[in-house]
Amino acid sequence: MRAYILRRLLQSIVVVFAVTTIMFFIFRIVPADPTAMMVERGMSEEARQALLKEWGLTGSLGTQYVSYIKNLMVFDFGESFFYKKPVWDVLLPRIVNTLWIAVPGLLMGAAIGAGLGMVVGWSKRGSATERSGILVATIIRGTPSFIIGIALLAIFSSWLGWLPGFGMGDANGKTGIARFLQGDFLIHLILPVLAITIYFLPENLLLMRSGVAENRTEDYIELVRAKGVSNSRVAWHAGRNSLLPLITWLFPALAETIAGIVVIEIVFSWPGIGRELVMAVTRQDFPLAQAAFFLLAVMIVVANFAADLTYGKLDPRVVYR
Amino acid sequence: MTLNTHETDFDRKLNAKPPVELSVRDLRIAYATSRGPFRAVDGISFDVQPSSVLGLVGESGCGKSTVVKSLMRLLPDGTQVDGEVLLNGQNVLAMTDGALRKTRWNKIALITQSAMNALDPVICIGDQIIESIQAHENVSRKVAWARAESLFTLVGLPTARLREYPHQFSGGMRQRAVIAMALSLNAGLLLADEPTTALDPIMQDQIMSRIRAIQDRLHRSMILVTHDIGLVAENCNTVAVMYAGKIVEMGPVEQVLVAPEHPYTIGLHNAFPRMLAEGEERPPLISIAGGLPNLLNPPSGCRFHTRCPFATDRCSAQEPPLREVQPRRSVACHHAGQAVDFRRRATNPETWATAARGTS
Amino acid sequence: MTTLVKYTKQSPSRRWSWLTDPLAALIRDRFALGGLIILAIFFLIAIFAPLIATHPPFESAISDTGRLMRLQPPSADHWLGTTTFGQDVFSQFVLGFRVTLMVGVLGAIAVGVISTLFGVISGYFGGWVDDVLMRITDIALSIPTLPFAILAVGLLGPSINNIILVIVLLFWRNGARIIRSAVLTERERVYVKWARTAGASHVHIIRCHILPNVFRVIFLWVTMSVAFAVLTEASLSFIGLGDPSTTSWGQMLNTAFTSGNLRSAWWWVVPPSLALVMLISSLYLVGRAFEEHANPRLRAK
Repeated sequence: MRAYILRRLLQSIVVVFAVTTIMFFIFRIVPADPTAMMVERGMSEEARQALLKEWGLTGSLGTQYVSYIKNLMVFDFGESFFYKKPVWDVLLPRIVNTLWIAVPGLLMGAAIGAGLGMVVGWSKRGSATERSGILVATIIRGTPSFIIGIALLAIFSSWLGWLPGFGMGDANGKTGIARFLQGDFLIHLILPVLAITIYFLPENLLLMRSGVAENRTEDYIELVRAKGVSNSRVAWHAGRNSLLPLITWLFPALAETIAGIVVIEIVFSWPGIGRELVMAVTRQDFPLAQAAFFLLAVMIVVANFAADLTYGKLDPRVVYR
Repeated sequence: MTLNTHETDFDRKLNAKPPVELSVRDLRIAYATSRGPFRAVDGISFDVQPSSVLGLVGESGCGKSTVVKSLMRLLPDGTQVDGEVLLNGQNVLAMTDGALRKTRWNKIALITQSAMNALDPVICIGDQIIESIQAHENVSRKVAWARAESLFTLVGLPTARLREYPHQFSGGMRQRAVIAMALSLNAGLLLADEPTTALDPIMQDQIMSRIRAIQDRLHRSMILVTHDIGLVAENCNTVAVMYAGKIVEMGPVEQVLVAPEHPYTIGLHNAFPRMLAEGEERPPLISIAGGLPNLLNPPSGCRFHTRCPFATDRCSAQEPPLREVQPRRSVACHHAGQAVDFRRRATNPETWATAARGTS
Repeated sequence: MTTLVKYTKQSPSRRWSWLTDPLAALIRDRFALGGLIILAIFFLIAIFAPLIATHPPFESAISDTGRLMRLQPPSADHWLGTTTFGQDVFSQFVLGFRVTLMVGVLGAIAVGVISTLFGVISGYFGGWVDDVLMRITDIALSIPTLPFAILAVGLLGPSINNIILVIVLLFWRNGARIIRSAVLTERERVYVKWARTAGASHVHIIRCHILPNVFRVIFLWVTMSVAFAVLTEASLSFIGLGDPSTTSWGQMLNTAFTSGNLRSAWWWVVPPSLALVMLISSLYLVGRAFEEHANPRLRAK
């Protein structure tokens, strides 16, 4: 078990390393001039060189690469071109903001999706519940995340006027956790979280549904029924077994889900890491863009790692080697 | 047999449950298929006396497993089941869902084939056993677990392995676990559906002697479904032979197996090796040519006439009813009176070869 | 010799079964049939879009009095009203069918070809080729899709070509894996082993035995890739990284959003949103029917 974790950890590090290397070359190959936004009109060549040196953009590609990796190893992403302050100082609060909407949204989407999926999967083959469940879920799955966001904005913000749909509300001079524990912030939280929930729900539903529909014809389900337990208890067995493929899918799916969250942040002007990435790219703020992308990639690697460990907990048949 | 020495009060209470009398009347079962109803079982009746064992034999697809599943109402949705399944006089087929749930496992329990997926793969076996106990008896987890330990001892498994999962068990051990589970509430009627089919012969023998020992001690009523005539001879009091959804011959084991009267039973008898008396010459093993008729469109008359070497015009025109030829002994054949002659001719392989040529 | 030919030649109906069986399954599934009909209509509109459009997409309408006709609701002249720049929404919307389907189909075909190439080589030949290709997909699978697309398009410049390039870079990896495992199963089949012992060439085996049998998987992946490509293009355009010389649906929504008219100009927002949902859902419905058809445990009896 310990050897397995160690090996998986090593693999994860190799993957992160590879991703960073790819990123390094993408940034050097592209035609855009990384100093373009820094260079003020009439800047002397010496001043420009000094700037380049400061950003680690001088010397051969090899030396640049070595210093780049060195810096990443200590999580030193340098200074943002735009904000003129360390990248960490910009990104850390953005990550916290993203987690505020992503964690509850994803949890609710997975839980509600799995629950509804069980109902649809357990309903009679070809019944109205089954067919309409599948159809509605597939249509929502086919709805781009920004359209879900736009629809929620239009209904709850513009039409009904119940909920705000822009930003995180007024800080009222509060900092730290107090910033997030005021009513104004929590009200602003509702629509983005709802959008992520709806966005993440249908795939969970469809996967759970096919898992349950497959499992209900298994021999062990017949024996469980024969035992005279309640119908919901029989369904629980099918659901418990369908959870395994759902979990294997769930964590890697986060990679794709982050994509949807980026766009949802933009729709609701939520100052998270995804929106910051988009703004950094359009402003050609390379250190910031690089760091944001790096952190997103690390999140995915960590999620995959967590998936493997969780799977082992849920499925007694898994042996770590 | 090593019996459990530390029996709990709960064990004693359950062990005092009486066996059940089963009476099946005119049972008809039709599966819904895209090409119309598939009449897997077509009007069968039989009884199981308390504490006796009925053997239900026939080749694969003859409907014997369907019969067993229908007794617990385990057939898929949309299957049409008619007739009566009387359990101590109560009709299982007419029960409400709540009453059915209370009857299952409490009065009838099932021993399934020990294929890998007969048990839930992700739940430990002990928990699966106590699930069946706690579904019916209001006892604590501790009491239920103690019961599961007694059951494991009864079937010859170490109690420590209750915490293991199905994939950690060998085929024979899984079969024992399934038997232990079937005994968890000491139901009055046990349905054993090909309990040893997936096992090797040595394991088959161990499992069957285990079942026999349990039967001797607990005196349950039982139905043993099998295609193995040998198992029937060793374990059953009465036997019912099924062919294409109908019972063709039924009676006490010693009569039916020694002097079969229906040509199908005679054929089945010839198809199995058996122990020989001293000096007896080994008769050739003869298989019955052909396969079961398509039940979406069953043949007219006697369903066996397409494969029967003794069939006459009457057999293809008129369906023979199951008639009582002696007390407790019935046969569904127009020519049951010629059974002695049939049995003699049936030992000659040429007889069956002719029938095969005639049908092909 | 003649008898041998007689036995190896397949009857015409069986010969094309790899194509006709899945198609028949699609038509039998009512959801998939609905999806197919919607897709057919969308393709027709895309083909005839320039004929259907009533105005040049970027032309600003000027009223008789010489004023810019901003945000006009639908009228006889402007069937779906005008944008904040006085452009005809209907014409932009209709031309959007073209852009969207072009990106979707070109992207998906490229993804299909590359995935099939990698999947077949990796699965059929195995060995170190397989090892290397699979490690590459391992790494590629850890890259967050849309953030990568944002970075790449942002750096390379927003154009249709770059968007398609990014789509291919993103989606070949999953396809290669799926097709590889299908090829692995086929490779172990008895008739493939026979063909090998009989001395058939690799090209022959792949063309006659492997490809027809993994066609189902390839088709499924290409269908899903169209959906992913359309979704990626729409998302990028909505973010503001779309090709500024075209009028894709994502871009229309982006203009409506950034100009602050999302809440008022329904005639500008609803048509592209609805079209995107219909297009992507139809593709998923078709894909779903394919998946269920391939999965015997889910097929209705």
